[in-house]
Amino acid sequence: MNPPQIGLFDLAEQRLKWLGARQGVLATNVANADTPNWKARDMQPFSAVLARQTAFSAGSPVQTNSMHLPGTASPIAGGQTLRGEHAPDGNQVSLDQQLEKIAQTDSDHEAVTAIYRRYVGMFKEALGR
Amino acid sequence: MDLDKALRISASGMQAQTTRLRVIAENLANQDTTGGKPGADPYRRKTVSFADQVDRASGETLVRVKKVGADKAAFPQRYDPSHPAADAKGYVSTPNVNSFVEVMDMREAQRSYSANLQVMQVTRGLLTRAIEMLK
Repeated sequence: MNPPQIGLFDLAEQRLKWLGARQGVLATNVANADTPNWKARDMQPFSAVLARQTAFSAGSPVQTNSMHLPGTASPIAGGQTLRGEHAPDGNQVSLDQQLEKIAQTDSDHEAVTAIYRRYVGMFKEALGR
Repeated sequence: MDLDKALRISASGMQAQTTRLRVIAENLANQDTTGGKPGADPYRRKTVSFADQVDRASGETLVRVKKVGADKAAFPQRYDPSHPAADAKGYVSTPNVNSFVEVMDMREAQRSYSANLQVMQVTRGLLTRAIEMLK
């Protein structure tokens, strides 16, 4: 896929898919919050998924020369293994952390749908409807 | 769809916590149940353990009650020769249920249940918002 050809619709769709999948992963963590030896899981960050699919990172500056300063802070590594409290039965789910992530997913979803609707509104405006 | 999966996963968590709460209720209700005959065993405390389970059809990792087991702790003895379940020496075995432990367990079950419920509500919000995109 060519970066300039990525429409906002595509991007929104991918983002919504990712958010849906993440909600599934986080729901699994919360459901297994009392399961012995369960380790909390998480998705790869969306920017990493997008970078892999499209070979460019969404909206962030690209380093075209190794002498350039990086435009952003280095990304958080992985996110799969989480440090946190450790129950005696080996369970590593922190409900606070999971619920915070769920709240994050919720607000991201809200933002994406809002942008999407606004974009559709622009089309409607242009069409004179 | 992923959000439907999330709903099912949360539902499985709530179901598992409900079973746990049922077992706690059994324990608390029977905390004074002694044996009927002399020297007979009283009510033995039940325990619940959870396990994750992959649903093969959909690939979801659900949670289920793995086993309702029995607490192997010894029965406390009480000296009461007039009790119908008293043994030859006059001691009665009483259930190995500690109501404080049960109440703490109940609180934890309640917390986990409401966490699952919260997740479900958020998931429902996501679904509703996705549907509203059609408008």
